Amino acid sequence: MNVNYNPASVFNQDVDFSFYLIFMISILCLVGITGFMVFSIIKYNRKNNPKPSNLEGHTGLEIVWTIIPTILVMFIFYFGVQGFLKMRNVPEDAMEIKVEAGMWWWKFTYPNGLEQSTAQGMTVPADTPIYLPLHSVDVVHSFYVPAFRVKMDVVPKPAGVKDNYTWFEASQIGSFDLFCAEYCGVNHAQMISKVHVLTKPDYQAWLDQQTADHEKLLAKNPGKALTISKGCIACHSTDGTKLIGPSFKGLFGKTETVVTDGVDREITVDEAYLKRSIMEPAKDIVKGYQPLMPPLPLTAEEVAAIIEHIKELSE
Amino acid sequence: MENAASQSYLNSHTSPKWTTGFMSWFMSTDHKRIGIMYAFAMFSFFFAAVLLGFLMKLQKMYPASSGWEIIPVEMYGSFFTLHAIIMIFLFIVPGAPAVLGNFFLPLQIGAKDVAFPRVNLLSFWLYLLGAIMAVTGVLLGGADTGWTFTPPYSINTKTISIFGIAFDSISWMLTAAFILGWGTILTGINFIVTIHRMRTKGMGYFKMPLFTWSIYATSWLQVLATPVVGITLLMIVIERIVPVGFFDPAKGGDPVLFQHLFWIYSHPAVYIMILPSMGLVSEIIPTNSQKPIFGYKSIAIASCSIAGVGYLIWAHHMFTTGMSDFAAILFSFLTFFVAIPTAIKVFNWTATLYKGSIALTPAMLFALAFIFNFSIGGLTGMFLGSLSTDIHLHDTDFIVAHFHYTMFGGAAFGLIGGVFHYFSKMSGKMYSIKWAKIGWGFMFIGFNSLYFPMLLLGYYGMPRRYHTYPDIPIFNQLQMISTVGSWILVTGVIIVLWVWLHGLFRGKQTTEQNPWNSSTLEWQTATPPTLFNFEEELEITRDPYDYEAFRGEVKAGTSIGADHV
Ligand code: HEC
Ligand code: HEM
Ligand SMILES: [Cu+2]
Ligand SMILES: [Cu+2]
Repeated sequence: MNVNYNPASVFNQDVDFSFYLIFMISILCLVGITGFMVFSIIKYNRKNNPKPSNLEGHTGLEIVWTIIPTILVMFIFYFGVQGFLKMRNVPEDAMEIKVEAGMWWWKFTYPNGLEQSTAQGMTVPADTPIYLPLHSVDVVHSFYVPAFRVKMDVVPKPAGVKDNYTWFEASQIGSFDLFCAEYCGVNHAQMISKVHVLTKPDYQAWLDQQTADHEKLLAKNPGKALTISKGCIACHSTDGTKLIGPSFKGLFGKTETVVTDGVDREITVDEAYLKRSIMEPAKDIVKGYQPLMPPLPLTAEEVAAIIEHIKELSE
Repeated sequence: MENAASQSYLNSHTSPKWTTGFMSWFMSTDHKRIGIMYAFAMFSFFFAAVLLGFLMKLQKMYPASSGWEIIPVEMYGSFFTLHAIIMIFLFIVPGAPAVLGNFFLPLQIGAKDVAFPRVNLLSFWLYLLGAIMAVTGVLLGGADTGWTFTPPYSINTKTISIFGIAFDSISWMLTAAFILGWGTILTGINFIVTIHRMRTKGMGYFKMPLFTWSIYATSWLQVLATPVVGITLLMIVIERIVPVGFFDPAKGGDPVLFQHLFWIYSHPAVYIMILPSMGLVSEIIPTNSQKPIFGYKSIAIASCSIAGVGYLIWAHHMFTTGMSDFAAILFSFLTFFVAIPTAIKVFNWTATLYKGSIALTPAMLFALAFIFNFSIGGLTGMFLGSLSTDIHLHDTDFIVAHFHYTMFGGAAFGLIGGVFHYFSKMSGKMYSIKWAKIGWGFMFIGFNSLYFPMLLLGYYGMPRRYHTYPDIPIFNQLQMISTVGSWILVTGVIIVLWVWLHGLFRGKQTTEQNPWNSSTLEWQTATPPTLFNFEEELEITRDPYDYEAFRGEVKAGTSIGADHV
């Protein structure tokens, strides 16, 4: 179970304090009101009390129950603001992990340039403030880690406008759910990943290992490495399973129907077609799929490497 | 028909001569007939949307890993969109003003009809047109933007083709909401003018019953807030058709601007939903306690201050959109000021019970359930008005439970209570009181077992608008309880609707004018009321809830009371 009470981040204490403060006040009010209702229903039931009073009000009492709630809500307001300001003020020494969101994937870019996506999740060191600029390539998503009490919408912005951000500092080792909390289309509920919290040394070791693995793979099979780091595998499997997009397995040389400008046409998958599919995904839409593939920033060499890898998977 | 005016409105009408039967209703400008037509339309839509809600809960009975799928994943978005569009735009926003406001507002202030009877009928037609467009829009095109139409999703999702014809379901639905908005604005203006100009002699503002007060506050909100959303929704339609960029960042627009404009309407709209039901509760409780409402003036003033402050707090729906920290703090601060008049009202209703002579009629049970549910709705609102807790709870099931507590457990329970209160006056028939109470029991228990677990689910991090959820034990257990709760609730809803239909067609005929022995003016009419409501000119001399004076009048024979109380 990933949702827990133990303070998993530095925000939990403030948020949960506010939560329990309001909770206690609410319970008191609710019990008071309900108790009084039940008492009155019994005591002043028409059988017990056939003669009602003609009481029309009581100014003193009304003043009391205007002033007391006013004072209480000001306390609640104050603590809410305190917790909130903490969430908005990022410590100077925070480490930056770029978060990118799209229908329906997450991508995380580490300070050394390593990129990982939904399937791997985000890995962070404990007790280190992490600054997260939040970029969306399509619609509004929302970055939500319940265990950390962190949430911020990932809003697509017009060119030149600063992206939203949030930050957190994990204080517990473990894996925690990361949800998309803003409806973003059919697979909104599948836009789920994890945040893995490691100790600082473990994190360093993990980062070195991953970076080295990635470089090794990049040297040996650059296409494969790129499909992982650029997030293609979030939508394309390599084993024939249908995800959001068609599988890469057996793709090269296959005959299939695509829709171009609303017209169906039969094509055979060759290099030119693959290149166009990757560089201008909106041009030809494979029949039976939605036009959801984002245009990803790739150089000509990178595309060529990916095409090699797709060919390999079709042998 | 020489004596049409002294006949029941059910048997005589002012519609064109050629009309009979159905058409004599459909063409009627009589505020009472219009109210009844709204009731039939609205509760039919309500029932359809309840079934959609039932299926959505059934879908969430088991987690994703179980493979349980009642609603295919491509359709879930359309389900909650259709459910919410119906519940909000076709049921609870027109709500109590359309049904009981139309019927009883003129009766409560001693008027013959509303100020503009023909405009009133036009409002109803616009409502029907908009309703049909909205429902067909979703059914045919599967719009799945939610009732919040958040761009750029709502701008970029493709139109769907049916039988080869392109059908832009989202534009179609937005246009429907625009038309519905016009109906609402016209009703609002109509009621405001009626209240300003048509009160009978002696009916000063502070002699008006509280339901009339609440309709008054609501109408101002409708007139001032609805145009904003109308224009905003049209801007999305324009943006879908021609390439301009109001809200789409790819074209230089700002999606957060849309959310501001949307909530400038939709936050006041939640008071449009709740205020009339508060008014109904303010009628039901004094009647069934046989004593004056506690603090009449402060309830009336609270209605107006809720409407006023309610207009200034829209951005508390947007604390996680990344708007400026200063704005967030300001809106949080203002939000807490709407909590105070709301709390005052709840305290006043409860205090009214003190030393009353309480009868637990079906209407009273719904009013008491209203206070309980609405208190939870209001108190959970504080978790969402407080900034740090809102960051955690926003867009989770906590919000879904919070607004069902206010709009369903509050507004809709109040409306249902109001219908039980006024049923015999409207129809000349009496329903089964025993079954009404049984229906109430199912609804009250079912409601709380459905939505209380959802508050907890939200606290544990369950996001809203999810088709499935990961296999986490606490999610699984709470979802299961909540689903079972929905079965109890739906049973209750079916019983209540059945009690009404049975009452209408098989119920005991009654002409008793004032069965609950209420002191307000609408009960001094015939049951059912005659065509022009009152036979003679009236003059009001006492406060609406002065039960002592009322009992004196009954003794003296100048007012009608119930003999069995
Ligand atoms: C958000 C999910 C997503 C991501 C990420 C994604 N794609 Fe796609 N892709 C799709 C979808 C959906 C289609 C089918 C519709 C279409 O043709 O655009 C598709 C189609 C394709 C096709 C054509 C397949 C065929 O059967 O003709 C190729 C090739 C492709 N993608 C390559 C890539 C590569 C390379 C990457 C990574 C750089 C990538 N995709 C990333 C969703 C995605
Ligand atoms: C038996 C009755 C009802 C049931 C079972 C029910 C159930 C639900 C469920 C399961 C959701 C979707 C939650 C999600 O996936 O996020 C939902 C959403 C909603 N419901 Fe209900 N509901 C009922 C009655 C009502 C009533 C009476 C109203 C209003 C007066 C209402 C208004 C809404 C709204 C506005 C939404 C939000 C949809 C969105 O996210 O866009 N519901 N309801
Ligand atoms: Cu998303
Ligand atoms: Cu999402």
